[in-house]
Amino acid sequence: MSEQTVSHPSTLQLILRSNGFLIGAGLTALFVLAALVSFIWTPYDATQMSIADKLKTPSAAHWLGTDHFGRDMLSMIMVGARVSMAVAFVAVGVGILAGVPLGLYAASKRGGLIDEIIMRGNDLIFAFPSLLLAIMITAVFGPGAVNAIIAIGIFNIPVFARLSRGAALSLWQREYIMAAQVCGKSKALISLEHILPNITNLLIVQGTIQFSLGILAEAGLAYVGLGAQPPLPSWGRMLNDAQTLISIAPHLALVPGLTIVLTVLGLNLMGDGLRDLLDPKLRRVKS
Amino acid sequence: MTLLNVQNLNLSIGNTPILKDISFELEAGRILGIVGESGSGKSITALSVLQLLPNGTTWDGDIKFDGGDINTLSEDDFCDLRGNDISMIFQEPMTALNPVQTIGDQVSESIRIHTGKSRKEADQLARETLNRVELPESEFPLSRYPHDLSGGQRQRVMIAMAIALQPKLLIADEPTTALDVTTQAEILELLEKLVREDGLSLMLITHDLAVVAQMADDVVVMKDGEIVEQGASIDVFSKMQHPYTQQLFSASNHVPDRAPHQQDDNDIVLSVEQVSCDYKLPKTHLFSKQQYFRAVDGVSFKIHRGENVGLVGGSGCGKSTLSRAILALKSLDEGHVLINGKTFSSSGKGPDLTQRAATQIVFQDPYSSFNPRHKVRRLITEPFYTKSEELTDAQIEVAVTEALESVGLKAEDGDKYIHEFSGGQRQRIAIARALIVKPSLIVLDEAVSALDVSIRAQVLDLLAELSDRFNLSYLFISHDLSVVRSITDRVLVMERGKIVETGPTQDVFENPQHAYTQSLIRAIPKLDIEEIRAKEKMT
Amino acid sequence: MLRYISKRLVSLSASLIVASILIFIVIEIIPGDPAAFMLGINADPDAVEALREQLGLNASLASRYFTWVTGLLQGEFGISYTYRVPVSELISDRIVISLPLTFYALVLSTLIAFPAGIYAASKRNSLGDVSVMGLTQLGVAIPNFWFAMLLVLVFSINLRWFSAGGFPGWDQGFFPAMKALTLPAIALALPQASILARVMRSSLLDTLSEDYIRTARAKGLNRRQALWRHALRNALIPVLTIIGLQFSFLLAGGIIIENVFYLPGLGRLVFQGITQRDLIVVRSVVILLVFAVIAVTFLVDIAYAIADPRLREGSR
Repeated sequence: MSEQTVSHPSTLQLILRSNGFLIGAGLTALFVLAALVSFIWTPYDATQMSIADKLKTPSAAHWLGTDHFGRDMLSMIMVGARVSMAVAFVAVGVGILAGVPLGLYAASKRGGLIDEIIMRGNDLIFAFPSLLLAIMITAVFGPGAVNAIIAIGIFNIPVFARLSRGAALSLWQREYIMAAQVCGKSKALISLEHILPNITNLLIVQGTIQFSLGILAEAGLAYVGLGAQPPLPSWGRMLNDAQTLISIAPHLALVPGLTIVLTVLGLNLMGDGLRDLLDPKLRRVKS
Repeated sequence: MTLLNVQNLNLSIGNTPILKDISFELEAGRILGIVGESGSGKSITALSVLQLLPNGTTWDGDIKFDGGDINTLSEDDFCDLRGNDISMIFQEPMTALNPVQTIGDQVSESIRIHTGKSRKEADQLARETLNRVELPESEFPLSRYPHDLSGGQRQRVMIAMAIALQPKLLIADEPTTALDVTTQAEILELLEKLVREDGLSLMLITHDLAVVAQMADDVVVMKDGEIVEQGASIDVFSKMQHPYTQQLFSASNHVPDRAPHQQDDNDIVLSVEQVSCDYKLPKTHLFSKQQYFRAVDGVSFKIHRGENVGLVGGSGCGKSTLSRAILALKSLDEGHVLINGKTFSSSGKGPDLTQRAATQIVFQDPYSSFNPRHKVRRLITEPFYTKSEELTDAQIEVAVTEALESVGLKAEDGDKYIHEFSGGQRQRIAIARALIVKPSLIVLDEAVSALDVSIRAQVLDLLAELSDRFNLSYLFISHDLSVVRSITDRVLVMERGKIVETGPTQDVFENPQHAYTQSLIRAIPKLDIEEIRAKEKMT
Repeated sequence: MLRYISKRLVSLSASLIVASILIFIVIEIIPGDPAAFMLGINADPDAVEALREQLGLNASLASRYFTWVTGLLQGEFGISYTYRVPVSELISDRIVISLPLTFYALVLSTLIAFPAGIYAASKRNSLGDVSVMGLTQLGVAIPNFWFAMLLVLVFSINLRWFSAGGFPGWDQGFFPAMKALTLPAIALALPQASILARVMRSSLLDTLSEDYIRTARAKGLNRRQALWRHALRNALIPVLTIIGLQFSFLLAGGIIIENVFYLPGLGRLVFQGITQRDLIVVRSVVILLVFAVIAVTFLVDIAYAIADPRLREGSR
């Protein structure tokens, strides 16, 4: 074992070194800001129709043009950001709140019946093609943003359960966990005090990835009419509206499509950047 | 004839200089030992001969192999050289073989890529080579996969791959460090035999002075990327001119000063009574009966107050399971564990939490022994959880200071994070964590095995001092018998889940009774200066 | 090996049984009486009751479940409430579009991802690696249905190479049918190929840093040989998992893509089934798709065992 101590570059240095992270964080901040601003101000009322202004290409008056009812696209994108982000965010929350305790519990009972049941349950959810289950759920409860959250959130549960179980299992082999057991701490307390803090980095990274997947899934559900309902604008439904008009007004498809791509790209870049920043293996300067 | 000649080799990785002005020669047919502690640059020296260096490495100097200058060789020329004229064996046999290829394929691949022999001829030669490394066809057909071979067997496969084409130079980088002491002796014996039979040159890289003393004709001693001393091993070891060589030598043979143990037969700290532990085996098919593997089989022994007891045995003998059972980290399937005369745990019954504080543990790996997110103060006060009464902040502060100072650290170190400490310091912190609740017994599970010899000597001194000062008992578990010999009063020898021999350390080592103990002790590499000097006088 | 296969078979049939119960229950919760739907809003309550009886809707839950499952095992899915034809007929008409589309996309995705991932890993940090990774980063972010619309815009509306939608049927010949499936398959495959290429690359990079690669290099293999002979097969193990998962994604993604291209596949059948409360159709399609996913999982498990000898002997 080496006797040298390792030197750590500061987090700030690492952030500045990581271009991907900066671009990703910038894009993400832009869309979060757009969603927040939409609560107090949008250029136009996002639901206000004006047939006279229909199908306008981008101009000074309408930065991103208007749709087939003459609604301002920028305003619709801003309000749509709210729904997209809220659905994806809450769905990630559902996944973490339900999945992480299940995964940690399964890991602490490794090989036991409960572990087996939790993991088989996870496999079972994976066996359902995700969108199909979402469609069935929205069919049961009717379409809407809340049901989109449930449908997407259910899929996040096994993702986080598996991730935290796998990470926790390797941590349970660590000697400091055994040392805590020698101190008489219960498995639940150890999971809370030693395991959870040491897997938060992983959870944050996976959280951004699931967040971006949630935005894609919400767009897909809204596109087939199972997401947020009119008159609330949503990116997916804007694309559905654009489909029949794509040859005469391509901007109707390009604007919301590029919005989705940039949001997801931003989140993914940020997630990758975070992984590099938080991974102690990469932080350690090897000698 | 000089086979390998390295002159003025300087090497850096990135901007960090690793090797400084390395020069040595290796004569054909001789064994050269390169010895040093971690960070001495001994492995990089070996890899630079093969030019398998990490990305970002730059070097200058002259390396001549078999008369040719390797600076002039292209990467393709090197591929022809590697495995053909120069072969290498690595430290970690468990990961050095491709898990999805049979051992036959892996041995015959080295033959096929260099000779253009047909598959059948190559397989034939692979078979013969495996026979030479004592892996007979009956048990080790070419079609076996590495995953069910033991570490020693895998290392033999590695050796077979390396010697199949009878290279001129064999480089072995810590070939036995990951192995048991008996396996180590077998592998070293095999290497020596093959090297002498085929007239190969061997470059043996190791941290273990005794191994070098036993095997090498010539020796190079390295420290911090430089050669501090080199020459024929008899000269180097008998004269030991450089202070660092002397220091390494005395650290390797270090025996800490201890007051003789005064035994009170009635003051028993730990009593293990007929303890057995089972592991579930994987079911052979879905409806078959659950089979068990008995890792610890009816073990009984006692440890008196202030007594240091060693527990030795090969890997898989059950010593780790036994230590976990004593600490109630694993439930007992039979028997009882008593601490200070009171039952701590017994089969079917969990540990008595009020007695948790009486036993503590120090683990092997100083790097995974601590939660990296907590400060030292919080890390070492964790055992207070076992105490039922609440302590005031002032009391805790006193305990932290006392614990840190008794292991040779300062009270201020409590405010640092663990990554600010070196391996040796971390092991001191681990001892402080065990000490803080004033236990009767500390289990030292390979506690000094991961440390370099000079650091190890210091930690052993500390342990001896603490035992005398606090009248502490140790259960000292180790695969390294010379360490056990230096610090324990009594030793238990474990084989296949059973204690096969027990007695005062000195008696067991000088006059082992059980055949297994005898084989263990015979396998210890010896570093006996008088013997070396006597040898020198004869020549 | 046999033991391993039979073990996997048992656990997979268990998940199939649990899945069928779940699907049955979810469908039962869906509000709306199919009999009332079939007869229209102004139907006579007695007629609705008679139809309920005739459809077997009045039997107990358990007995309806068993009727359904025993029917499934015999290939009998029941009669569609709205189309009044056997569900098996409806499904077999549409599965010949959905399954080929899924496999087409899976093959495309693999064919794109493997070379891209292997190339990027072998040229790590080169310009080629950075560009491939940049493209995949973009590919992952593109919603497949939007990509499908762009493909239609470019290749059907502007270039007129492909028709914008519809399916001629397999009886028009193999190539016209495959041509109709090409744009949908590309739309499905590209985002998944991006994911797969990234997994392939990182898995290869992981294996390339293993000790046995150093062993191979010490034997005299050059970088290329070490990659192809030793790293690739080990790197495939996590890649196989992703391919298995992608089948499920592609099958589900197909439901949306079929809508973009007006393909009469299972996806459209499910949507119609839900809007018309033709629950017997929904139930059957869902269980069929779940069965397909489970069957592919099984194939992946077998592929695992072929790739990794440690699994074959049931030592885990």
